[in-house]
Amino acid sequence: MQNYKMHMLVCGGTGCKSANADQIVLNLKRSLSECGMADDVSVTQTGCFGFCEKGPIVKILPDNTFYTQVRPEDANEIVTSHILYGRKVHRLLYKDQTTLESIEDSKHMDFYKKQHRVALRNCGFIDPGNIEEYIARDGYLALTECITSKSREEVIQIVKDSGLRGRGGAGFPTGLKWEISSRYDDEQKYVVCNADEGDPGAFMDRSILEGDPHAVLEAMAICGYATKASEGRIYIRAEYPLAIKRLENAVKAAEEYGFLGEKILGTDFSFKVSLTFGAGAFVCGEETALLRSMEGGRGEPTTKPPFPSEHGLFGKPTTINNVETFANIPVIIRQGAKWYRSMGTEKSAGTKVFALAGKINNVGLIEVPMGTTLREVIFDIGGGIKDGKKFKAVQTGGPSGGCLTEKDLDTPIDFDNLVAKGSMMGSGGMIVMDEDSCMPAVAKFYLQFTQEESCGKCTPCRIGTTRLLELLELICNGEGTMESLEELRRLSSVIKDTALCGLGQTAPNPVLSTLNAFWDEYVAHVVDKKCPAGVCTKLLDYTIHADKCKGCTMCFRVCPAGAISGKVKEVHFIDVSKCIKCGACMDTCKFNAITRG
Amino acid sequence: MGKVQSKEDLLKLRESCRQLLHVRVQGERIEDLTQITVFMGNSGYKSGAKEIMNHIFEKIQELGKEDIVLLQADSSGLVAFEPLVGVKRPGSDQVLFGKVDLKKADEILQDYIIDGNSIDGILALTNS
Repeated sequence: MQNYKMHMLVCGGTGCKSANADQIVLNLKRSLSECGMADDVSVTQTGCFGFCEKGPIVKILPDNTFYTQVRPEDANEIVTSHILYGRKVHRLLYKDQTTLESIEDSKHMDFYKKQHRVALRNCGFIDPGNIEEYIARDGYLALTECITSKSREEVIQIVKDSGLRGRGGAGFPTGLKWEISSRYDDEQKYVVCNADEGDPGAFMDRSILEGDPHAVLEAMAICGYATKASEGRIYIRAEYPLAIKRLENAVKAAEEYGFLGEKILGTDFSFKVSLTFGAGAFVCGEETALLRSMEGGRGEPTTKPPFPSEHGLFGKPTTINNVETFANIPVIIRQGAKWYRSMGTEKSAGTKVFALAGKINNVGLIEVPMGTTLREVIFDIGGGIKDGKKFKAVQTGGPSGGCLTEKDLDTPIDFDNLVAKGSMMGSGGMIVMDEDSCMPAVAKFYLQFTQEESCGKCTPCRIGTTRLLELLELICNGEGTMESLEELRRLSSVIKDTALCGLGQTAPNPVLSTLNAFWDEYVAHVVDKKCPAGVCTKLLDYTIHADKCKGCTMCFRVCPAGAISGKVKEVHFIDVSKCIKCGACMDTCKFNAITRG
Repeated sequence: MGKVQSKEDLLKLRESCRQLLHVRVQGERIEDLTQITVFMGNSGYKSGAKEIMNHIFEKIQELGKEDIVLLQADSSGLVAFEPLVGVKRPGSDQVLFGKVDLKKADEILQDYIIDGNSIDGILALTNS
């Protein structure tokens, strides 16, 4: 076996790949051969490092050098400078946001210091296409231990004792789910992995599947053993082509090595895994709709009970877990329930992966113990708000969650705390908003999404979300009244109480939470007909102040609508009928002569 | 590759696969390891530091010492003393050795690091 002195890891997540990471790999390999160092240094494409904001990432080991925003043309310099002469390429090192100093290795980056990676333990560390690297990280050892030396009951007991709760959103205890499924006897039982990640701005599951697909396969097999199921199916959206490719390769490799298939490790346990592709409908993340879609029907939810544990895929007992839930299982089996419980809070054990997005400096994927505060996540790990602006709110739980504000920043994040604050954990998307975000417009954005994604089966969701959206449009256009606000609140609570599935029941959450936290902003829209954040274009008008205007013609030149007139060294005017309210003139004016009202 | 048939099979396979990730795992727990740094840069390279580095690497492999990690750094500026080698034990300062040849390299590895004896030729202690 080749003994390399150094390893170069190049991020192969979807984000970095679309920023030319493949070419970086090729260039690095070429430069290494040119320098005659191809036998000394290996180049590997891994899963996501999480630091997507500054991708593509190249990490060099063993010294943990962390290069950010690498371009294919930088490859040669990295090799000739760093690899050959030990001279780090300083311009590519990560710079601390506050001190602006280059940080030589990833161990000293704030982004990684507070993280605790369990579900992401192999992401950005191993080559997801090489099963042997997974095995080197104790891969398939948990499965082996389960089927050779643990009874089904013991396995379930470990998962129950660990306190692991479903990471897909609702937080149902995983061990209990397995126990219930194991009680139903049937010749054919299924394990389903819910990889239908639909929240806008969320990419936890995709990154796990792209970076560590074997962890999910191993966990599914363990679940199959514990619940007496012989078949596993992964429901994954077709718009995740890279995750699909890596999963398919992983299934093939696992079969070759005998971790999936007939009579695994010579025992009586057989388990196979196949993939089913979804078309990318948000509602199919709801388990009953997901099952209908897998059966070939329309992705529409059905009433519960009967629960899938009893009457699931094709009417057979089925255990459904989310990708991240599964990714935790092999470690829990290996290290024990007590170890897992030592992280997190009493009622929410372990860690949680979050996808940070929006107006935050370090957009990316992080994993922290439950009970970490929002402030630590957003300011310490996330690096604070972009461009030094002020924090306004954070939406957790995607379109089903709610907005949390400044006063909630010190709330320890766990399932119950977030619900108590009117939001929810959801699958872990976190969208951060700054002072320039208009909250009614944010609520409108989420309602547009849920209204479009509503499957239409039940009236409260189909018509209710449409009416909610209409009301929000009215408000954002300045045509709303105080009665509209009351109507919003009333309709929201009716939808919450009467919708059939989780999608409808949670769709009004963004409306209710913004109404509660930002009532003044709604009132400004309907009473004063103003948008304080300057987002709702119908409520804005731009004015040039004659006393400050020097007649420099800058605004005249940038106006895309030709709405500004005036001669050189004379005061300019905006023709309100032509103005499209893009704000380009205000941004350009050097004399602060243009204001937005 | 045949199918894995038992837990023993898997453990054996894991052992051989671990080599694949050895350098990465060293990086992950670098603060717990004894770090040998060879100072390179153009001047170090010219003074033969690369040969010293290759030699130390092979020796570490031969001895199977997993708790010693070999690193490379830019020239420290002490050009007259190159090839320059630094040794840093977990939690202590770095110790520098100058004008290291193959024999001295063996001495540093075997006598100084592994056997824990004090040897001649220490140039300086640094905090870096």
